[in-house]
Amino acid sequence: MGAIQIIAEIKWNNRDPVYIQVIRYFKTRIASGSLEAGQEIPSRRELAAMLKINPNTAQRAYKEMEEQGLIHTERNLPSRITTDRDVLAGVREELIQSALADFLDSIRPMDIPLEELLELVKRQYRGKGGAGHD
Amino acid sequence: MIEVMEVTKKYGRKKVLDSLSFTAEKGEITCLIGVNGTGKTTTLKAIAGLVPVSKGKILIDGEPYNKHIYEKLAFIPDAPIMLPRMKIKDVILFMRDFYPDWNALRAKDLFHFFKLNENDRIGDLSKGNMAKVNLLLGLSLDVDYVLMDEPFSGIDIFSREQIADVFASGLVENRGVLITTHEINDIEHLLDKAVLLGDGKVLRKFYTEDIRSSEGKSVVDIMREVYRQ
Amino acid sequence: MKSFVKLVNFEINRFAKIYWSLVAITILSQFTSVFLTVHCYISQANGIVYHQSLPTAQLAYVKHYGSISFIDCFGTVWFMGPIALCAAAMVFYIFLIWYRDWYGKHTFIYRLFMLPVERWNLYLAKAASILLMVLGFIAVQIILLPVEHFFFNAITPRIYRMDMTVADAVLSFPYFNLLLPGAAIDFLFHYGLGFTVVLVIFTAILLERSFRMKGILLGLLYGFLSFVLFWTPDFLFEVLLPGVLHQQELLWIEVATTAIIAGYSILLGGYLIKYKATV
Repeated sequence: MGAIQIIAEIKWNNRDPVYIQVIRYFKTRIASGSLEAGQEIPSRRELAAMLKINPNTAQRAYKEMEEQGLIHTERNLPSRITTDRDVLAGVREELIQSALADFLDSIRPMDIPLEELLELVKRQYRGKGGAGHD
Repeated sequence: MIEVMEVTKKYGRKKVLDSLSFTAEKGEITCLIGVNGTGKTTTLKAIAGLVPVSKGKILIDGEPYNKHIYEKLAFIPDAPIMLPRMKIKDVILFMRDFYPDWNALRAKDLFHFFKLNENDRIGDLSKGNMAKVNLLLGLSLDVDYVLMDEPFSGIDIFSREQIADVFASGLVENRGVLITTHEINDIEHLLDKAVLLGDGKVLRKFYTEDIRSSEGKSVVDIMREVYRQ
Repeated sequence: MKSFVKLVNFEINRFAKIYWSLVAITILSQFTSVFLTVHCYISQANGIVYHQSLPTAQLAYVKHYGSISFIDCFGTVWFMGPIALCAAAMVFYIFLIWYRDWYGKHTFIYRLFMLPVERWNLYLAKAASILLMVLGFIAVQIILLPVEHFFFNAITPRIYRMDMTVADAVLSFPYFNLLLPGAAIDFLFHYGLGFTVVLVIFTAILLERSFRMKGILLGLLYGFLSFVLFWTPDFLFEVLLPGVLHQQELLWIEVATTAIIAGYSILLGGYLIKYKATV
């Protein structure tokens, strides 16, 4: 088979299109590096079985990712993650920005000064053993 | 495509189905939703040629009822319909004997997947195992359309998961699947289309992903709106 | 055609246990009848004969009280009982063969209706099964009689016996000539008529299964009309216009009428089961 196994117990949010959630899941794994550039991914049908979703949903997700340039499918070969560095970087960027936006939206009503906020973030980050940055 | 066109069914003076219209496409999972008694089961039975309708038409791939529909569709009922004294292996032999498009290999795969015992008698099976047998019988026929009546009702969670796995697998790919249920909590994400019934009428029908995209609502949300009156 | 045969086979197998039990009961019971009848006669004879010189006394007994013949074994509960039982079972099953599929523990009619066969095969298969089972009973009886006859001869002292052939015994006994008529043509008539009655009942049952409450009335009406139709030639040519037709001619008209009734019962039954019957 060659492709990696994508087995996840995703809790589906029934208010957002499922195919969007599948794409988001792929993007998360790309951003975190667990899905690498050029890596082979399961077929639509295999993905549906692995994630336990409707095969049509898998189909739609792949179509959309294809259009967004996240994956490439040549002829009858299995689909692969793009090797385009810009696209991959863009995904990471997109997810980070989106998470930041959500975070700031939820923290804004608390009216914390930026310095204090950054300090709290640092502590929380370190405490949770984050991936070594700062 | 299964086309239900302005179908009305009366029992005596009571209208169980009232000018019902909807379609179920091949390659999609369509779900009839409604509380018990709204005619979901009657609709499936009418499509399966088991119950004649008072008015309206039902077409399977453009054709009205004839004996060939049982080469095109399989109906998996909520209740057991094989003889209670038959063993599972007898049932499989029966199906193989009478149905030219019986897929023995798939039957074997499903038999092992569901971990059934061929010497169990139908009458002795638990509700969960009975549901699995019914599913095995229906899915081992090489038909284009599979109708399932309440495939998840009254069975334990592990059996439910096994059945849900069947929906996600290649077994239902390229087939039109029409199911009925009154609770969709665990399976909403699997559906392509939802048809909400009330008092034998279609109250709303839509593609689930479209509603999520355009209105940000789940099927359960729509159900709350529609059934509140 | 293949499906029809498979269905008939299936229907007969479903009833097999009860069927063979009935056959076993018939065999045991009828042999018991022969045994008891002979035993009874001999006991009685012995009661009177015993203290006198045997052969002459026995002859005298026979002269006075009469001999025993095979036919005497027929008129007992032991002999006729199982026949009545099998007949009753068959009558019951004419209805049950349908209703068990709707009201059994599992509604098997769903499976039957969803078989990829023309639905009238279901109707005909059930009718054929009943016919075959009835003929089976008859065959069993026909086979049993000579064996019972042999047994009878074996256990009855020659001096008490009035010998008769099996055929004579059967033809002389009142109820037997209904079930086992002498002439082949009578056999066809009797059983053809019986089969037609089964078909009419089947169609009436399907009327009920199609229209439920209304259907019961329709079914009864249908049965009644068929009955009337059957007796019309008789009424017409015996009562209203006597002497117009010979007995033979009237008979053939009755056969034709029966065939017509059978024919439209099958047509109507076939239509109902395909388009109107509901699970």
